[in-house]
Amino acid sequence: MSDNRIVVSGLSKNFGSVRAVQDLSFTVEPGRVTGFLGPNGAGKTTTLRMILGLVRPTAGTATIGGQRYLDLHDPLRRVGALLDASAAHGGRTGRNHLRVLCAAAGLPRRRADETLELVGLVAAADRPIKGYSLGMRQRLGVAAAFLGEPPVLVFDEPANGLDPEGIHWLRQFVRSLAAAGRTVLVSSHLLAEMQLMADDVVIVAGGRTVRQGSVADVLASVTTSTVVHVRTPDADRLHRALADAGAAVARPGGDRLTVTGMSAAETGGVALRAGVELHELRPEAADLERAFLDLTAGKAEIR
Amino acid sequence: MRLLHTELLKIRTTSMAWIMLALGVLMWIPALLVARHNVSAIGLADPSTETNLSAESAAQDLYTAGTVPSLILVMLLGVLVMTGEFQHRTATLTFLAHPHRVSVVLAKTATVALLGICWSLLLLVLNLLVGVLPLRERLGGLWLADPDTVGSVLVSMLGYPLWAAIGIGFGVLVRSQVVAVIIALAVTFGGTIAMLVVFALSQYLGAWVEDAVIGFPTVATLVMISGSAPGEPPAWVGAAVLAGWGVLTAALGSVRMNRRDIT
Repeated sequence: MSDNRIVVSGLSKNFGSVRAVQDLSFTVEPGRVTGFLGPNGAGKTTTLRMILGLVRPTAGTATIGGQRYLDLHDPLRRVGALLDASAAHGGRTGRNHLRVLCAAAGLPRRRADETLELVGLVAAADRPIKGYSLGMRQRLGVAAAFLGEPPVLVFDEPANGLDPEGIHWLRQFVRSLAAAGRTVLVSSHLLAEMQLMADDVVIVAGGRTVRQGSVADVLASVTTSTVVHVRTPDADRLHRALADAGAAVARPGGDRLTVTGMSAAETGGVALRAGVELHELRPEAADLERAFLDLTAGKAEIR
Repeated sequence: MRLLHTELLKIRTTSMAWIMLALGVLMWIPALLVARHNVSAIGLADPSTETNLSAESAAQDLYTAGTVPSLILVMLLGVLVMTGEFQHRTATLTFLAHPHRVSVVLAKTATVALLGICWSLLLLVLNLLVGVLPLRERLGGLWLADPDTVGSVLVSMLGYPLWAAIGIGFGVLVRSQVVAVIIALAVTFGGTIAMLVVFALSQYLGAWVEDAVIGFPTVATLVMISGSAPGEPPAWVGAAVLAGWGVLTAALGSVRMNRRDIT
């Protein structure tokens, strides 16, 4: 169990004439949270289901610790997955739902009670699942994934339906899994959330990988030029001074300027030398959302 | 064993099996009443077949009263247990725990068959207590040692695993729960309708058509349980036809299940 990498290699899936996933390759390392990002319909769920042996790839392979999911012995003790929060019989209680899974995985019944406690569902444990909110179902799904305390975890959009407190809890939980050396793959379209949660990202669009690496590297690779937002009562003079100093300046309107190709410090220096009063000097924060939009722009249609 | 235990737990933790049990009792009552009523006709000529109803066959009818509706319920249970995995989208979790899908299908068949056989034992005890025992004088005994009666009871029990397999098979072949139930019932009751059609057709097409009705599971079951009256196919043909249906639907279903993408 030394190697619990998820390795996806040349994975493709066609549904009829729709090419849902095309030649996807990436690796998910243990001890890190890997975010799997992409717009709706990018093939994220299909890819996760291929990794888990539920969907047959048209081409390529996906292995966990070097083995296909189908070849794993006692799969629920090796890999925990949350794919579909609504996948439960509404007439069953939360506790019985987990007990069925314990039976299927050959785990003791007490694991059902332990994981209910872990996800904070003890109070609702003996109520039928049909009365659960989406957030409660997500927590039940997380409990189900963690029943066998597996070294590898796969979560598909786990933050769906969670309230802010729930998202905070999920973030802590996912981080703690990785901190304990587990391999964690989390798909999401909540980019800001991924920036807080993930160490690495794999960004897909139109069924293809567009970028992968650590969050920091991916951000650095797309934010080549810095952008600084400035507000001043003397916009004309500052505009001229900045242009003379070699920056590209846009004027969105009124007292505002957008400066490209110059750092915030340099912009402040130019303003001082020109004797222009500044009301605001704000470098644009590089965020994953911007990176994501830049990287996936126009690719969502490629099907 | 782990799979069997899981499947039993799944059935126990929903209300479906209890509804089936209630339906089983509801359908058994009229069947028993008819069988009891027939006891009064022992020795009298049956106008439709012009043969006398013997005490032995009346006893057999009492011991196996309620078998046919019970078999249909077992088949329905099979359909519901299988299609329920897709209806409630639990197939994902089931196949994550057991990636080898055919073993899941087999475990479900075994579970439903087991429940069916338990029900048939209960039915046997009920039929003995409420049917045969009170009427033992009219029947001229309990017929417990009569090989034909014992055989008829055993053969009716054989029906449960076969109908369980048919139900699971339909459940695998047809993804939608509603459609699967309708098709299963249509094939089942189609037997009765087919008989009427066949008798009309046999005038034109020859007597072989009459023998062909046995291809329907209900007719095959009747032949299997009620044994061979003169001019009817022997009981083993009925059993073979049922087994054929069970193996065919389960095998086709398993192949399809293995290829299917669980999305």
